[in-house]
Amino acid sequence: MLTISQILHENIIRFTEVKFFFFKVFGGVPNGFAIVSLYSPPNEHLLRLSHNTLIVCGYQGEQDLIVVHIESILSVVAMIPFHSITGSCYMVEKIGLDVVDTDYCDDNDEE
Amino acid sequence: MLSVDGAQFYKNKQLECWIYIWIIVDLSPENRYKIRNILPRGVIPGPNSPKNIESFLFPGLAHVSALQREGLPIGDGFNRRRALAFIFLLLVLADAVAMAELTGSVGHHGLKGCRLLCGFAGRNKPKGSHYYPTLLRPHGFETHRTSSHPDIDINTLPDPDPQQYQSDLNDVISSQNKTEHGRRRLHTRICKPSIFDGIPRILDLPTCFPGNLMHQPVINLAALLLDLWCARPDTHDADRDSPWPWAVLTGDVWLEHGKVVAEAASYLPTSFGRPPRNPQEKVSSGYKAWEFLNYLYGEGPGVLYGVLPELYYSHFCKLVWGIRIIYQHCISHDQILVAHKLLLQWCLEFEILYVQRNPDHLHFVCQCVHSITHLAKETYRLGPLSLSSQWTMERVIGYFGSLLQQPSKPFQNLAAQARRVAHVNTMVCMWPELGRQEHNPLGSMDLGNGYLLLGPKDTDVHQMSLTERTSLDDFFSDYPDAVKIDLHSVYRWGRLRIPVEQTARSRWKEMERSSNMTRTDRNVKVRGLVLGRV
Repeated sequence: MLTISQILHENIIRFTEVKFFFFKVFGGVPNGFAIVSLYSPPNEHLLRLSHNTLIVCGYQGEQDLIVVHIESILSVVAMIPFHSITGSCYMVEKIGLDVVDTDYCDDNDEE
Repeated sequence: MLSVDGAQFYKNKQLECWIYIWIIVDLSPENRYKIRNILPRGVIPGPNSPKNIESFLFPGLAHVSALQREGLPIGDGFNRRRALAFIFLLLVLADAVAMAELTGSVGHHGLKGCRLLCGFAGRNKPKGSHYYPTLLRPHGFETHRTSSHPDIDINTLPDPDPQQYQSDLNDVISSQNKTEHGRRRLHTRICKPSIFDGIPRILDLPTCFPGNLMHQPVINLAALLLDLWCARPDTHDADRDSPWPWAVLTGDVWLEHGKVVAEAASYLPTSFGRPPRNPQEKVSSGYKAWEFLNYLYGEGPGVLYGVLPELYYSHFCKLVWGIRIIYQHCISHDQILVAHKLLLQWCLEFEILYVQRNPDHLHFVCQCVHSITHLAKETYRLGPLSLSSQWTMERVIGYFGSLLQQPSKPFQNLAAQARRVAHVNTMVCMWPELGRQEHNPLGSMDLGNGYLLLGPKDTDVHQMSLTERTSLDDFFSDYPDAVKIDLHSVYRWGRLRIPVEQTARSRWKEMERSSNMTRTDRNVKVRGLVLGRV
């Protein structure tokens, strides 16, 4: 069974907090970038329990800053404090935009 | 597409009226729902709901019917000739009450109450006349007069069938007397021919009446689930002695839950539409469809975790995942299959977990539960259902409502405003230069492919922190031509518009704000082009 973190290696979808945007000119063409802080990969136990609907990630602030090209930004999402685990958030997407595709695998043994 | 809906203006809700519009499906989905591209056709004044809604639609439908027979002459500028366009009426959208009227069927409480007229037969309580679309036969129903049929396999549910509809309709209209009509009406769900039977070019009846993604799965189902979880009196009647394992949103838990939901609002991005208000205070008084959607299908898995018992939580999440897939504007074949499987499972398990074959629980199975079984198949037939739902109509109603600037003569005012919108839309269509041109905001920077940098921006070079500098060096270390430019002189920008028409903000600017009642737009989903190289 594929889990979300395994897929992330292939298809690498991550949730991030934007610090700021900037651009650099390469070959006369402006290219947009953002410095972002990566949220940790989702908690897999909660992901399985919730049929992929509860995506809980930890906020890491300055510890995990990376630069991304703006064209890898797919959508704006909500990261809402998750009360059961301190320091973590759950992710909600705008309903109607593409959902995170996690290759849903059915367990058939939830009962 | 034709769309009809009841609208209530002002808080007291006394000003109910009905609006109907045409939506031109030839336009692309991004454009067809804009106010400038819809055709307002009629306003039916209240305060009483129209007795005979067909009589109000008739003039518009007669016009369409004539155009369908004779053709609409259109100038074809490219080939310098006139062409005849034969318009096609694709779908008729309406809320449940208007829909029953327009399809000429009995309401949702009939034996076969599904609004798609799929013909699935429900069961009634021993002394009730209201039928509920249950799959599983309740205990003690073996000898029930009308509802003794055995369990129904959820994979064999009927689909709406035009041939069956025609033969049923013929049956009903050939009834010789009132008793016969009553009996045939019960068994076919049809009481009279639909006015759309007379439209020459339309999808076969009843397939031109699609399900509605807004009312049943969002408003009605959310209300039902909340009634169950809160153990509201109308769901909780006959068996008060046996505790309900799912009735957890009571007392202090419900109070606390309401607060958690209300607090989450400031974390929702602006583009998410209306954030849910505290459901504990507001859910029974005018909670909006978007609030239900964001509350249950957005925040639901987060705010109900640890609140609902695990079995019920996991069951609820199946619904959330299925609905989130169905609501997308772009859905893959595999996703439809997943959604179908999950939603069917959800329906069957709803009966196992909540109804438990208990005749006293039969009324939990409303038509909105059954409607879930159709969503994936309807998506396969019609494309993403969010593009043929009543959301547009809601927006039109909201827009018209905003045009009513004064309280006197509201219905005349509304009719005049609708007529003016129709006039303006027609003029803009003929002379596009009259329409509002969209320009990029001042000081923005277009980066192509739908990405637009927006201010505020730095006026001086930003003094980067060590971690920022390191991440920049990492990223550009194998970037072509990076050696030639000065990487470390960076001017910050505060916002970015992205192709899905959302605007991302940044921690830099959001942390400067003083008010805590604002929204949070700085979190984004990225497909990591960079991480792949690590």
